[in-house]
Amino acid sequence: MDDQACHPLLLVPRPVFWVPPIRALAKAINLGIEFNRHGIVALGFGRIGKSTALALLSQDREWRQYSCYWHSVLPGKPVASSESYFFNTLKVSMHLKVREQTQSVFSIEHAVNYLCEQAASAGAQVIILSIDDANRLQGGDYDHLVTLDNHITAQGFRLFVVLMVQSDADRSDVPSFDKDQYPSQITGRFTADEYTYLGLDGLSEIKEALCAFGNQVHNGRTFLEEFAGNAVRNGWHIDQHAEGIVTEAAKLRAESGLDPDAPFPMQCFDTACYYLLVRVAAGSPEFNGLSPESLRKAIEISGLIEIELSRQPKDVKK
Amino acid sequence: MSPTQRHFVGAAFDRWPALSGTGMLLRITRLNRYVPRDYRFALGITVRRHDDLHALMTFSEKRKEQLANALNVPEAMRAHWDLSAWMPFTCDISVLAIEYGFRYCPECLRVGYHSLLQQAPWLARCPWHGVQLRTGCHRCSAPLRLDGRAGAWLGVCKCGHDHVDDKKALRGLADPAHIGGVCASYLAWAALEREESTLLAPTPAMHSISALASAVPLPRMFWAMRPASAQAGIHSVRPRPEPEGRSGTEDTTATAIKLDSLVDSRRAMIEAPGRLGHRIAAAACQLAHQLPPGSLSDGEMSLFLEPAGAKAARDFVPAKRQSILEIRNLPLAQVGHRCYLDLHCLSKPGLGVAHRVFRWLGLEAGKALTESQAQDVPACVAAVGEILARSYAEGIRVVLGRHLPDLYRPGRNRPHLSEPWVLLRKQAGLPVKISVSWARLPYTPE
Repeated sequence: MDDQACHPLLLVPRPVFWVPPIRALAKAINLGIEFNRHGIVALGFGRIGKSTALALLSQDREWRQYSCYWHSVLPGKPVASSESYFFNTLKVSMHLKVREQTQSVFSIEHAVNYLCEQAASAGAQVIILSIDDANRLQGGDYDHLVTLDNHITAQGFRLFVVLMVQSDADRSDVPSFDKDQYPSQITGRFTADEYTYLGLDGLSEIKEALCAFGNQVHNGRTFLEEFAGNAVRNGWHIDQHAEGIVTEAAKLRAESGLDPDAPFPMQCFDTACYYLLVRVAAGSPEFNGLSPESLRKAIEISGLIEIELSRQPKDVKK
Repeated sequence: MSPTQRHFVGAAFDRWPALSGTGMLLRITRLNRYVPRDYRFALGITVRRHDDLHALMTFSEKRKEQLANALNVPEAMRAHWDLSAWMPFTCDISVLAIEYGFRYCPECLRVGYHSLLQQAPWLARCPWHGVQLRTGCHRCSAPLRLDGRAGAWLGVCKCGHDHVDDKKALRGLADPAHIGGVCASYLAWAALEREESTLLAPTPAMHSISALASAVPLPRMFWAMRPASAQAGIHSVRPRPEPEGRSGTEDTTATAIKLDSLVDSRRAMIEAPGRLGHRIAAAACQLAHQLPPGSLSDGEMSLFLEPAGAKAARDFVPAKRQSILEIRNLPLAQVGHRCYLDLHCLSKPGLGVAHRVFRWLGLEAGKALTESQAQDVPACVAAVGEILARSYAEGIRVVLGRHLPDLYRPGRNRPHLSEPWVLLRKQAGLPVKISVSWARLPYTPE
């Protein structure tokens, strides 16, 4: 296998890189911790990059204003959530041994001990628990989160829960999350702050994301140098096409009756970038720049229109 | 981590240097909320109600392996679970298991830490906290046992006192690097000492290796942790070889040849070599003078005094009975200018260890001494002399006690037995250095 075959852009999953929406979420989490909140609700549409954002935030430490230990959980969707189910889900996510029969209080302590020990190992006082797909949580689960928070506080640590909610998970006209339904001990802790996670919004963010995508480095060479070396030597950079991408996306959206200025979902952006660089730029030895047709094709391949159409209420869809 | 492996709370090994197997089990079970019933499910270890888990995690290779496999313990940490690695001498591992109890520092145990360094009886204080090491519960003073009782949390005494603070146990040691450094220094020293030192323990031993508490020469950095005073019932001596050419003493090599007959276990008597003969004769004479009036018959008294060249006191009151053969055989038997010692009147632990000192020396009949053996003979002869003399002094009191019940009244001559623990230190090119620690047995055998 040659060097290019092992290139991270050709592997699955592709590398995640910092984009403005992730940076904004990081800032919101830092602010939440700073202002003594115990959680934040981040709402966002499906495929917009929420899970990727959590993955990057959990791996990267530089953005953290406070020393934190990050633990991620993916909740299931049981018929009825119980305390033992909730804490066993937590324990499974920690790879702890789960007994078939255990008293729930031991389950709580077991999970709490794990989080606190890991935090102590990392020299952290704050434990960030990120719950992706938090729209699956049931009302009782928030009470279990309060229990977890109380136990962790008793151990001398601080819990901060990032509830990543997909706002269009059920039907786009029904909100997945209604903070008014919770009592004060839950609202005061976790749901007081709401943050809307958007995709790449506007020309400047798309340009910044293109720049970050192209400038990722592998073996001392940027991705652009790797796949479009000649063009880069001639002064080409993928971020020069930010405006073209916005224009082509607006055209395609308009053709489908969609809002032309809607944010660009990260999944579509990543696919489009990959297509442009690996298929178009690297596929032609004489490549010297992207044509509007290539940009249009990339957006079509990215599935942007299908995703945005799926978010429309059914009677509005064409 | 492979998909089949599981995390355990408390298994962050890098933060717990030189943690013992017991300490590891304690941490894992406490922080994961496991009771003995769960050990099999979680760790693959089966324990019974009365099992001493501390002894199991120290001496049972199988259980240690099961725990290490379940927790994926690194080999370097697993090496710290071997008690013999913490001993500054080579010895039979079974000796270490005698009266082996859980010894801990209250401050360390509070954070869920225990190291086999804390089991070393030559350290009386915790090397990190300076606190007296304990074997008993803080509250009720009963020995703190870690057993497999159903529903019991490890570290909780039967009286209910919990010695572990889970909150602190989660946070870890304040300075693991310092603890790791101290343990590494100790282990390096112990490894060097093991190359030179050998322990000859009585078999079967009744006492634990705590008999050696003051006999082990610790490096300077551990001096502050040494026991402050001698342990009750323990007496350590360093027998000094007789200076060569001293008038009235026998040639050392000749003495060694006579004592070497000890190795032949079928012998009932040996010829007591010069210096030993004098000591034994003096011991018998001294005891005869101190016995209550009417204890020995005339004939017995003269047999006791004759080898020492002494005579009965004017106020000596003889026993109004016939001589007893068993008592008559206690003093040295003189045949011409030679003295013979009946080995039956020596305590068995002493005789056994004396045997083994000679075996260690490795004399072979008909072969000339090697240079190294020649260097070591005086020290070995002195040590065997010390062991036999004391074994004799104690042995004759026990035998006499059978016929003279008054001897059991409180007093210096009250019969008792001790067992010798011999530590030999042989540095290349130098004569062996021997220390003998006498540990008094808790009861006097018939």
